[in-house]
Amino acid sequence: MANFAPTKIVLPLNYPNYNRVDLNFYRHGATYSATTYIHIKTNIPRYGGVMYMIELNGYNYGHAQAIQCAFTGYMYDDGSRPGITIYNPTQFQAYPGLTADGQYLSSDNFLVLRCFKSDVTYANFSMDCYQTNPITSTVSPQVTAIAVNNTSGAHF
Amino acid sequence: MKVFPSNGGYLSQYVAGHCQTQDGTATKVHIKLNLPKTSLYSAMVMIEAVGFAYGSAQAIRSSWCFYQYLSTLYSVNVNNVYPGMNAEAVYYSTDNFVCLRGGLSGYFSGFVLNAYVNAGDGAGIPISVQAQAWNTNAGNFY
Repeated sequence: MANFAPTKIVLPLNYPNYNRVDLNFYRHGATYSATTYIHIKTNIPRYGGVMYMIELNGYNYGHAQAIQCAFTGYMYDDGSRPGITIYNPTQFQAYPGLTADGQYLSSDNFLVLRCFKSDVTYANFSMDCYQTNPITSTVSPQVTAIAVNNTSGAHF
Repeated sequence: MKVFPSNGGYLSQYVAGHCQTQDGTATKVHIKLNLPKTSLYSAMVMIEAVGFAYGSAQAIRSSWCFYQYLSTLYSVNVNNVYPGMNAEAVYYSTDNFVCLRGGLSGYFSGFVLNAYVNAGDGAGIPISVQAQAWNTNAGNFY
């Protein structure tokens, strides 16, 4: 085999927090529930400068379907676009076990993710967060509250 | 980098590399790996990019797979789970390293690379990124 020393990755010096990755920063364990929405409140603040892709991976036992879905956006406010609280919020599904349904700001100004399925019995998943903002991504992501209910709008 | 060796020394590497740009004119990313074109050993590899293309407001989860064997790339394929990037091609650089090409909006795009080397007598080698280039080159850049 060739002598094959790994090459060091050189990051631009002005991007000290470039691409912070937090794998499995939260694990959701559900039991029986006939309700349809899961609201996931995070500690990512409105002005936190966090550009994120948050992905859920797991298994919806009740539907016998795998879960892989993602939320993207940018929690930033420089005052230039009043009224916008989350820049470019978008949701994606890879597997059908749970739908990334929406994102909103809680009444106390934190990012909340909302998932949907016709019922969420044993819809269990882990969460990964990829922060791609090269300048200000310093938040260590956490889930601060979960609500499972039938609220299709804002819960928190 | 987190490395999880399995039986036989094969590696699963989470965050084997990073790529990021703010260049809104870029439509392609070229990633030069440390895997050489060689007949000294073989490596059967899946490289996965996971991240966010902010400019197009789309998540990224794309992969390139190939088998580097006897200085040839066999069974090259690409797959895209989310629409933020199109994994497009695998090629050898002029100085004989494996390179990946993806197509995406460059405006504040970033992703990490995971590497899974699942066969070959070079399978125990940690993969890393030697260089990255963001531009409009739809062919081979390196």
